[in-house]
Amino acid sequence: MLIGPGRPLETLEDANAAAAARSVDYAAALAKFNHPQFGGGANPVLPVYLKVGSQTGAAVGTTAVDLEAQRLLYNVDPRNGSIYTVIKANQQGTDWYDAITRTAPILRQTLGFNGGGENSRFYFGLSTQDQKGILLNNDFKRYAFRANSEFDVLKNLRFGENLQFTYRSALGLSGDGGGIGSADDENDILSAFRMPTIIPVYNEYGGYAGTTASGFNNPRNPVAGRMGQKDNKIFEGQAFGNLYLEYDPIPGLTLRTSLGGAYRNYAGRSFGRWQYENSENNSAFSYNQFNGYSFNWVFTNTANFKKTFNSHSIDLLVGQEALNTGAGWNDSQNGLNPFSWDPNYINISNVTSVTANGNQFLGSNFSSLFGRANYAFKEKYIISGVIRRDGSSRFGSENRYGVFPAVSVAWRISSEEFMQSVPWISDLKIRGGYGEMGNSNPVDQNNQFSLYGGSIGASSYDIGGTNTSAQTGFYRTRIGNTATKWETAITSNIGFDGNLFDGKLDLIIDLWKKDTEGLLYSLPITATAGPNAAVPSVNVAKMVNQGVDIFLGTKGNITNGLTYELNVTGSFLKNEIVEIAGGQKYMTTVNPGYRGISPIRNQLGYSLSAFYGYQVDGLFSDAADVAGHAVQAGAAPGRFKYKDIAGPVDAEGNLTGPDGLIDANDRTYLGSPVPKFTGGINFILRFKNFDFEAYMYTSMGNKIFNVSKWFTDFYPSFQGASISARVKDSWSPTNLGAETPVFESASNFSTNTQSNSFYVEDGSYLRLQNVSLGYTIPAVMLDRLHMNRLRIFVATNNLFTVTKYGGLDPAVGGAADTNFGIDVGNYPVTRSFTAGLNIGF
Amino acid sequence: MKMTMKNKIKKGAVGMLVAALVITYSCNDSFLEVPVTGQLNEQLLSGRQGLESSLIAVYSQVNGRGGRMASPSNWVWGSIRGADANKGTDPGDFSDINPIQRYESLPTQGVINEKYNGNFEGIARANATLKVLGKALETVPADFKTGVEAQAKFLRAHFYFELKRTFGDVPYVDETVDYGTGIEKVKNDVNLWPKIEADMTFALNNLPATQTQVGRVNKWAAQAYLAKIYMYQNKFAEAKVLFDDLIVNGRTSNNKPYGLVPLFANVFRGSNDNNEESIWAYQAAANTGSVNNANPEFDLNWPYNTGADGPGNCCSFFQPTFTMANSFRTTGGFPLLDETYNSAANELKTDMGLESSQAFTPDAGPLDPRIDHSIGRRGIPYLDWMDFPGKAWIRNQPNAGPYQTKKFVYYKTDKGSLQDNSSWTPGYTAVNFPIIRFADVLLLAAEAEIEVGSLAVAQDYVNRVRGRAANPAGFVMKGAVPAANYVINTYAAPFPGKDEARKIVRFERKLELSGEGHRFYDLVRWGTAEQQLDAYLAYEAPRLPLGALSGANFTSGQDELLPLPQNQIDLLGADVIKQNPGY
Repeated sequence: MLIGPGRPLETLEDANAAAAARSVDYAAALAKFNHPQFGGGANPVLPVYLKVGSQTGAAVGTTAVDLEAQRLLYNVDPRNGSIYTVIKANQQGTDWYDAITRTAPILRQTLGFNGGGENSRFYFGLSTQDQKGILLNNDFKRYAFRANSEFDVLKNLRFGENLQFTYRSALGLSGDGGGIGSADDENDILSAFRMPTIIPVYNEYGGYAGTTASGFNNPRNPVAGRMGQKDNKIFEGQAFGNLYLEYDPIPGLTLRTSLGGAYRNYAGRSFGRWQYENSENNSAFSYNQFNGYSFNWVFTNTANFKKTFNSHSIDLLVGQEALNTGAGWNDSQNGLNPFSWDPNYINISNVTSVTANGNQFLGSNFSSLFGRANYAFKEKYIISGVIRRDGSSRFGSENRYGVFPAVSVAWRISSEEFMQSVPWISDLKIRGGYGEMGNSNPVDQNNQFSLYGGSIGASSYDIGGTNTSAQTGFYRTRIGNTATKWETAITSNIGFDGNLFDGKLDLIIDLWKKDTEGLLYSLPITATAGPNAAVPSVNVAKMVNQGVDIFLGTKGNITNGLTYELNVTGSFLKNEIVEIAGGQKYMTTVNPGYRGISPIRNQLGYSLSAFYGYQVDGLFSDAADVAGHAVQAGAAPGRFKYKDIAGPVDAEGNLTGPDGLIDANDRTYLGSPVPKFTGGINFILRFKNFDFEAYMYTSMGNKIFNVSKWFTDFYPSFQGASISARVKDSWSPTNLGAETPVFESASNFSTNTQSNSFYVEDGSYLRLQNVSLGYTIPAVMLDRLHMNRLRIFVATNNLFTVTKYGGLDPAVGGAADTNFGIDVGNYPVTRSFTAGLNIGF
Repeated sequence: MKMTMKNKIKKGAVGMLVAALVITYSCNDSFLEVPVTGQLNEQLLSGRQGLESSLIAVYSQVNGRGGRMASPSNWVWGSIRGADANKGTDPGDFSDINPIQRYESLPTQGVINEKYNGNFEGIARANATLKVLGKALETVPADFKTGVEAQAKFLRAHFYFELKRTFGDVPYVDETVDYGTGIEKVKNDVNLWPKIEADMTFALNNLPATQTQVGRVNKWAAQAYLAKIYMYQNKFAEAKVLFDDLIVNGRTSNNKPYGLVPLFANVFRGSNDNNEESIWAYQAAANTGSVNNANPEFDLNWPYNTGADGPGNCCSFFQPTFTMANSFRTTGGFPLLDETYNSAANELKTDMGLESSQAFTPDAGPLDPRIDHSIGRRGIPYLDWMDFPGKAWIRNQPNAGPYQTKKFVYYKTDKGSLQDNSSWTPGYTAVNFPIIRFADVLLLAAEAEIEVGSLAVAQDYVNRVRGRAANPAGFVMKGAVPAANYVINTYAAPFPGKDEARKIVRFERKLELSGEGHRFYDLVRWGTAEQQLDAYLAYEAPRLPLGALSGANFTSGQDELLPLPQNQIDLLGADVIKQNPGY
C-alpha cells in the first residue's frame, strides 16, 4: 500500500537547522491545503490549486481561480511557447495504479482437423488469440496456422512435415520482457507508485496534469505515458517447422533425415510524445521505426536399429547433426519533430535529424556426431550409454570439439523372484546414472577474436569543428581468447521409480548432483587493457548444484463415480560456486546497479546471484548507541547500524577480524535468490461428466532484493515522491522497535546509499495458480449434433497467494544465469477468469 | 515387381549418398569457421585510413563518452571538490557523489571507477593506435605516421596527467604490453611525471604549428600542456621558458594568434567555438546521431522544471556554492584578498527560502561582472532565456542552495542548432569544452613569473585577464543598464611582494576559471587545500539546512588523492596495486 508524500523527520543532529527548512518544505506547504492525508480538515470544500500559470509563474494555494479567464492563456503545446496550465489538487487522492490498469479480456479460439487414410495422416489447425494487457494500450494478437502430415511413399519409405505459420502484433510494448517490463526495470508501474496522489490525472482543461506542479519531484504521469503508447505497434511473421524422410531398408533399421528451420521477420513503429506535464520533460516529438529478420536451421541424420530376441532387446542409434543458431540483420531509424503529430502523416522522410542504426549477424554453427546404445534383459536389467562429440564455431580451432559420454543403468528389482513375496509393490525400479554434457551458451560467436569497431556513440569525434557532425573512429571492441573451451556439466544421479498398492501410488525419487566444470563466464580483466572492450568468456569457475526431486501420485475412487487424482512434486536444490580461476574470490563482471545500489555478487562459497552488502544490525537507538558502535560514516539515531564483520586483508589476502570500522570489508553475503524448495500439488476430481482441477505452487527459502523500497521508503531518494505505508511506522525516538529507518532528509552511507539487508526479504510463497471446472456433454446427446466431443469449462488463475513478501509479487524473474531475484517494480500477477468450449467433430 | 524392388534400392542408395555427402560437408572444419560481421581485425587498420580512424577513437574518448566522471571538465573532481559548486539536486539523487563533496571517498565508489576506467580506455585506444602504427603498411607516408604518433602521444599524456593528478601513480602501460603479455602484472610503483613529460615532449617536437582540421592538437597546444605539466611539479623555470614563447608566438590549430576573446561570455558560446583563446578544446557537436558528442557529462547540470521557458529542465546538479558567489564581491574593484568575502558584511544577499512568487531584490553591492556569466541567481537574466526565477528552477534549495551553474549553457537562440533534442533530456550542447584556454595559460604563466621571473610581468598577465572581464560591453544587462553593480579594476599599483602576488593570482584563477574543473587541483598544487576547504565547509555547512556538508572536513595527506578503485585491487592483488595513504 502506498500513501501520499510524507513529511520527513529531520535528523536529530540537524534539528535546529531543519526547523528553518521545514518551513519551506513542500510537505509543509501541502499541509496548509488541508489535505486529509496531512491531518488537516476532514472535508475540504475550497478547491486547492497546485499550479496556475506558466512554468515559473506558479501561484498556488486556495486562491480563487477564474478558470474561464485562465483558459485563454492555456497552452500545452511546447511548439507554441511557454506551457500554461491549471492543475487542481485531487483532495480525494488519485489512485494511479488504478488509472493505468484495467480489467482485460482474452479471447482464444482454436480449430483443428485431423484425419488420414491408409497411406497418409494429417492435422491442420488454426488458432487466434486476442489479449488485452492489464495496462492501458497494451494488446497482443496472434494468429497461427499449423499443418502436420505424413505420407507413405512406399511401404518402407515415409515423408512428413510439421509446419507452423504465425502472425503476431503487439501494441504498446515498452521495456524488456516482451513489453511487460522485467522486475528490474523502472517502468510505468513504478511511476504509478512514485506519483503523489494529490496530483490529478488531468488538468482543468483536459490535458495531462503532473509534476510540473513543482515540489513533487520527477515521476512522470504514467497515464500520459501509457496513452503515448497508443500507436506503438510491432508486427511479426514467423514460419517454422521441419521436413523429414524415413526409410526402413531392413526390418528394425530406420534411417531418418530431417531438415528444420525457423524464419522470423518483424517490423514496428513507435512515437514519443513531446511532454509538458512533468518536471523533467523530453524536448521533442520522436519517431522510431525498425525491422529485421532472422533464419536458423538444423539438419539431422540418424540411423536407428531396434531388435528384440528371446529376452534381450537392443536399441542402437547413430547420428549426425549440423545447425546454425540464426543469421539475419536488423535496423532502425530515428527522427524528430514531424510537421504533424498524426501517425498517419509520419514517415521517416518527413521527420528531421534522422539517424540510422543496423547490424547483421551470421549466428553460430554447431556440428555433432552421436551414438546411443540401449540394452535390456527381460526389462529387468537395463543399461544405456551415450557418447557425443560436439563442435562449435564459438571456440578457437584448438578447442572446438568436446566429447561427452554418459551411461545409465536400471534394475527393475520388482521383477526379481525374491520380490514376488512383497505384494504391495507392483513395480519398483532402481536407476543410476553418470553423464557429461557440454555447454557453450554464454560464449559469444566472436569470443576467440580481438576485434575493432566503432560507432557514433562510442568512438566518434567532430575533428573538423563543425558543431553538427562527427567522424567515427575504430577502437578495440573485443578482446579475444582462443583457449576457451566447452563447459562441462557432470551429472550423477540415483533414483527410484515405484508403483505401489496395486497402482494406487506412484513414487519417484531422484537424488542428483551436477558439477559444472569450467563454468563459462566473462572474467573481468584489468582496466588498463581498455574497459570498453568486451572481455572473452573463459572457463573460470566450478559450480555445484545438488538436489532431491520427489514425485508422489495417487488416484482412486472415493465413492461410486467420484474419482480423484493427486500428484505432488517437490524439489530441494542447493547451488554453490566452489572454485574461481586465478584464486579470485568473486566475479565482478555481472554487477548491476540500481540507483547506486549494487545488490549482487557472484562469490565463492555461495549461490549464483547471491545478495551482498552490509548486514543491518537494527537501527541506532540513541547517541550512546552510535558512540558505542564501530566507527560508521553518517551514523545517527534511527539509521542503519551495520555489523562490524571484518577488517582489512592480511598478507595472504584474507580478511582479518572486526576492526572497529565499518567499511567495504564488512560487506557480506545477505541471502540467495535460489529457492531451497519448490513444489506443486495438482488435484483432480471427476464425477460423472464433471471434472474439477486445481494446481498449487510453492517456492520456499529464496530471498528477494526489494530495491523498490529505495524509492518508496526513503525521503531523500526522490523528495516529494510517493512513499510506502511502512514509513508510517518508521523509527522515531518513541518508536524504537521500528524496522524502517527514521524518515529524514539525509542521504548517506548509513541511510539509503548502500546495499544492505534492509532490502532483502523472504521471497517464499504459496500460490493457487489454477482452478478449473468442466462439464462434458454425454456422448448420446452429441450424436444428434454430429459431434464426438463437447466440453464446457470455466477456470481462474491466481486466486490467492500466501507470502510475507512486501513487494507486489514474489514471483520475481531476472536473467537466469547471472542476476535474478531483484525487484524494482514487478509487473503484478493478474487474476484471470476463463470460460471456454472444446468441440470435436 | 522386379522394377519396384530395384527402384527401392536405388532410392535408398540415393538417400544414403545425400546423407553421406552432408555428413562430409558438415564435418568439414570450415563449417565451424564463421566470419566476423560488423567488426574488423587489427590487420585491417594498418593502412592510412585505419590509422586515422584509430586516432579519431582516441580523440573521441577524451570526453569520457557519456561517463560523466571521466570527462576533462572535472565538474565533480575539480569544481565540486574545489568548492566552486556542490552536487546540487536532492540528497538521494546520484548519492554516490555525496561522499565526494564531503571528502569521504570510498574505494568502492562507482564514480571513482568511472574516472579511472574512462581515462584508461583513452590510454588503451592511444596504445592500440601506436601498436598498429608499428605494423603500418609500407605505403603509409612517414610524415603521416609521425603526425599520428605525435597526436596519440599528446592524448596519452593527457589521460595519464588526469590520472596522475587525481589518483597519484597508477600502473603505467604503453603499447608494448597488453592482454596476454602481462598487463595484469604492471604495478603502480613508477612515478608517472617523466613518462607524461616524455610523451608531451615528443608531441611538442613533432606536431605541426597549425592543422587543417581544427579539432587536431598542434605544437603550441603541446607546449602549453607541457608547461602546465611542469607547473604541477613546481618546475617554474622550465615552464617559464615555454610560456614566454607561446604567449608571444602561439597560434591555435586554425592559425589564430593566441589572445583573449573580447567578451568573457563568448568563451562559452557554441557559435564562438575555436576562437583565439582555445588552445585545446573538446570539440562538441549537436545532432550527430549520438548525444555523446554533445557534452554528455553536463546532462544533469541544468536548472530544474523550466519547461519551455529555460534550458535543460533537468536535473539541478552542480549548483555553485555560497562561497563561490561571495568570492565575486569586490571592494574598490578588487577581490577581497583577505578572504573576508564570507563575512556578514560582505556575503551576498540571496533568495534562500523564498518562493519564486515572493518578491526579491538582488544584491546591490559591488561585484565582479564574471559572477553573472558563471552563476545563475535570482533576478538576473539567465542568458537570453528570462530572469532567473530562483526556487522554481532549483530542485531542492535546502539541500543545495539558491544558485545554478551558467557556463556552458545553451542560448535560447541556439536551441535545436547548437543543442540536441534527441535524448531523454534537452541538456546536450555543441559548446566546446576548453581543456586549456589562453586565460588559464596567462594565469599559470603569472605564477611562474612570481616564482622565477618578474612580478611586473605577472601583473601584466593578470591585468590582461581582468581587463577583458572589465570590458563593459560584456556586462550582463537588464534592459539598458547593467544587471548588477559591477565594479572591477585592473591592478595599477605594482604587486608589493611574492606573497601578495601569489594571493592575487590564485584568487584570479578562482574567479576566472570557476566551474571549469581547475580549482581542487590548484589548491592541492599550492598546498592550501585543507585551509581553504575547511574554511569553506565551516561557512557553507550551516547554510544548507538538510545537512549536505554538515560534519565534513578535509584531511591532509589523504584527501588530496582519490582512493584507487577497490575492484582493481581485488582483481590484481594488493601486491600489484598499492592503495593510496589513508584509504
